Amino acid sequence: MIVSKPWNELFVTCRSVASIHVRSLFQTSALLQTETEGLLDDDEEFRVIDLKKTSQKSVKKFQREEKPVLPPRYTRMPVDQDWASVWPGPRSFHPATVPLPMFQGNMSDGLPPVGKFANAELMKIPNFLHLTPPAVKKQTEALRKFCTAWPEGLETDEKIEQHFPLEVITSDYCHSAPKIRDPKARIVTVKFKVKALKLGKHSKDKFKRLCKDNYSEERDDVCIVADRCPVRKQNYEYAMYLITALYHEAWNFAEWEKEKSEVDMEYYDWDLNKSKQSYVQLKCWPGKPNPETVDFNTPEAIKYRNAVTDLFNKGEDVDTLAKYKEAVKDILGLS
Amino acid sequence: MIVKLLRAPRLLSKCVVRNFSAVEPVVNLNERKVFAKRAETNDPATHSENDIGKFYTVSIEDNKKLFSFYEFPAQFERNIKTFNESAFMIREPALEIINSLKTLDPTKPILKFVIYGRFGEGKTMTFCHICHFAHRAGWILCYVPTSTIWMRWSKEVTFSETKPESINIPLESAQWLRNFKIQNADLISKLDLRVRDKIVWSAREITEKDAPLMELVDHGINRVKYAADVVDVLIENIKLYSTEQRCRTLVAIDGFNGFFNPKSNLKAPDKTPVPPLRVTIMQSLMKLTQADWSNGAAVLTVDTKNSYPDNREFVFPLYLLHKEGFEHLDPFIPVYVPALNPKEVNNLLDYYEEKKWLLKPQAREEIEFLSTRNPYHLTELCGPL
Repeated sequence: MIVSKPWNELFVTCRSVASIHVRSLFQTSALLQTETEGLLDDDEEFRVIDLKKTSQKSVKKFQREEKPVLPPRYTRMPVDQDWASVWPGPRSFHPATVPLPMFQGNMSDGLPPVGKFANAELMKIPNFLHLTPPAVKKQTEALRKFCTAWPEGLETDEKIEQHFPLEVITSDYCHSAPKIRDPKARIVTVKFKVKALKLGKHSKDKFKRLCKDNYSEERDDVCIVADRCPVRKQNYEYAMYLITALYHEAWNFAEWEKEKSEVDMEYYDWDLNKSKQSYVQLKCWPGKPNPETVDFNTPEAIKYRNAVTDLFNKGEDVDTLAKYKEAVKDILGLS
Repeated sequence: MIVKLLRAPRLLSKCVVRNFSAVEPVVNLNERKVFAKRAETNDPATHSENDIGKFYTVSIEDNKKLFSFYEFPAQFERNIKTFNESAFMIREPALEIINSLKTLDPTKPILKFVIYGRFGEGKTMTFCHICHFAHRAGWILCYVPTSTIWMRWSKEVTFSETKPESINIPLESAQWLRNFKIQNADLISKLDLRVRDKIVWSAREITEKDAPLMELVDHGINRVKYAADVVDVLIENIKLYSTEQRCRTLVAIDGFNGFFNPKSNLKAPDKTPVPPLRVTIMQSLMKLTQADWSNGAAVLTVDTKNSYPDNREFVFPLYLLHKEGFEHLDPFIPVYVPALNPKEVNNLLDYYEEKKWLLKPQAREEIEFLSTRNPYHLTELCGPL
């Protein structure tokens, strides 16, 4: 029966049988799909190299599912809401949360200023929306129960300075982070005024020089920051040790300190300067200058001495110059 | 009435519009005659407190003799040409110094005045006024207006043969000697001042003892090589003669703070930098400002423009002179030259109006306000008006 059929028909039947077979395969396992297709191709025709790659499958673009956008939060806010609970802490500006018509920045000619939405300028600047007067009041009320009354006798800053000359500054923070330790907690800053220490003329100067940059000429205080030890207590004790060591070292007088010259002086001393020689020369004219014959305690000499000292120590301005002019006129006998 | 006015535009323009119009009323310059207040005499020695704010004229001869070489501020130099006269305003700082000079005690060390103030408010003009007084009163003038220019560019820089490690600027030294001769030749020949010691310049060039002082000056001018040394000898001689009360001397140095600058533009022949005090003529001038001689005075100005660029913030003398300069001059009398007062501004504007330099007299108050009573800016503002 097979032989009697023409070759064409035989080929068609074979193909149909194969296709049925393949269909059943499809149903059993999708994994075998490519394999069977390859087998089929092998059976049917030679593969052709597609150099131009004309028959590429079109890739379908991934589209994100659009979610519905909610209206800004401020549209749903009641007028009498508690703002302190809406904006409890410091936070960068958010346009949907702040129910205020805000503008920041300028546009070019004729355009209105930029509004609060998508405005990076408003986010850059610090805002104090968490520090509204009612919020501050609320927080202070909450803290009040932990406070004690202000001690008597410490009403003014001067009194505080007198009774507590040493100021110790540390920081205590709790973080809501995986690590609750605050790295600043171990650092101890100690501040005190130099006048609070009992120092002489020499030791005061030496103390200031030993303190170097830690001493502030402007405020006349010393600020020591101790951060080299791992624990706060150790740092505090180290700071106290430093103060003690500085104080006692300042009182020591070393032999080499006698070599201090006029250039090293921290203030202008009239007696050590050329101005005194000029004065002697003036008073001894036309003889040879001899400091022993000159009286430095006359009112005009004292006035001149103070005027020159002020000019250097207080700085040059209209007042000190006027004083100097007057003093010079006195010693020259012009007034 | 209003209707009538409206109908008659001519009437309206005359009586109403004029008051509201921005158009300036035309002033007939021939009708308006303004004359600036002037002092009664042109001799600066006779001026008193009542003459403050008034003008006096420096004669053409004096002007040529004293102020012929870089003396005045450039703006005043131009105005002399424009107005065909050199008129100084009498101001308080100048009078203050002149009064001190009049009552100078010849037995005491020299008086030193340091003039300071802001730019354009009259430091150099005060200085010129005092020099004119001294010249008229028969003082010898040692007048140095250009030390800063010397330090900026000098044509020739050589090593000094007499002073080790010092630098000569011979051409400028000779130029200064020439000016000194123009200013003082008559006076010195009248006082019969002579060279005190014999000086041997070279095998053939000798200045004899008791030769006239002007001969020494001429030698410096003709033999430029020795000019710097001649300046030194001349200054020594003048100091001694003044101390002996045979003459009176005024030392006038403009921009004295330039002496204490850390650097100058000059380069020595071996290309090393030259600070101003390494130059021989500057060293000689420093001797003049020392208080080791009497019967004289030194009038010095300090100016931010002569200072080194990083030292131009304030106008005060100690700031500009540094400690070194202050100690060199101390004790000195600082004299502040303030801005003009309203009276002086008024007279200055009158002067410009008199000279037809200011043709719009309505703007007076505005000019006063805009210029902040600074005479330099005031003159600049009057230019286009």
